[in-house]
Amino acid sequence: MNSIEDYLSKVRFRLVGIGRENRGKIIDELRAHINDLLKSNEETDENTRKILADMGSPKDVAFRYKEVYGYSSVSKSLFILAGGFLSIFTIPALFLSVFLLPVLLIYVIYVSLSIGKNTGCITGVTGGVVRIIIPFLILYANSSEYTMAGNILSLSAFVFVSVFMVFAGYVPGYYKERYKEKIESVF
Amino acid sequence: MTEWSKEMKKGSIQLCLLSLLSRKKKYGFQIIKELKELSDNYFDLKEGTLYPALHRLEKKGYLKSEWITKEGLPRKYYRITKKGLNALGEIKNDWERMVKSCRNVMGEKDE
Repeated sequence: MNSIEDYLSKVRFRLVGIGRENRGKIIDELRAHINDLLKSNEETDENTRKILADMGSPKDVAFRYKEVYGYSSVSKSLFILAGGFLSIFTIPALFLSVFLLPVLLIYVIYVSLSIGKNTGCITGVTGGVVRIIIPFLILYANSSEYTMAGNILSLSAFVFVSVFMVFAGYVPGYYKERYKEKIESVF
Repeated sequence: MTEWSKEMKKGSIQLCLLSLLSRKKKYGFQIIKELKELSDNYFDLKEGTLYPALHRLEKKGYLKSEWITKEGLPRKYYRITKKGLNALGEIKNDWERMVKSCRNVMGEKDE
């Protein structure tokens, strides 16, 4: 049945991030379930369509599993690495860095909200460290030609923004968790 | 479905699943069917709710699963663990207390 495999591959796509092994198990189980449903009905295209419609959109189905499994450590690492890479382009000496800084900030907040405070925090630390270390390495390599660019004020602003990334990664995720707990525990 | 019954069903899903599986190992489709029959259609669980709930219980160590093929159809069976039985005992106790407490609060004791 093509429409079933089509539906399942859409669910699988939505499950990206929770780890290949778990993803395979979930899809196999859903497939077995659909087969059982089809067996208890007549195997017509109309019935298949109805069964799939009753199961809900692939997005909704995948969302519930994501709540159970969270993100795998591989995808967490990818998010952190991407944050580190992005932060290279926010180093003040580079062209467009002013415009990319808000992008990095939004990215870090996004990671914090969607994955959690810990991954968000590590992404922020990675971003901040990359931003600070790379200019120093460049300065060190060219020590004879360059001195510290700008004055103390802009330097501290630079460091402040870098450190701020750590908070931007931690705080949103922390409050999201607390807020969720509050809703779930009435008594 | 009212907000109230939605919340109640959400709260009782663990109790229902652990109770059902404490008697015999079962697969998802079978669980949905039996819950519906036993509850006179009150618990009409959707697969989108059931499977994640089963996976959550398995992650907690309350259930264990295995694939068994019967009549050419592979199915994932769930059975309860020792830890799950202990949890079920506690949940049942709590449930009894809640029902009793609600009855008292509603004033049915006076009748």
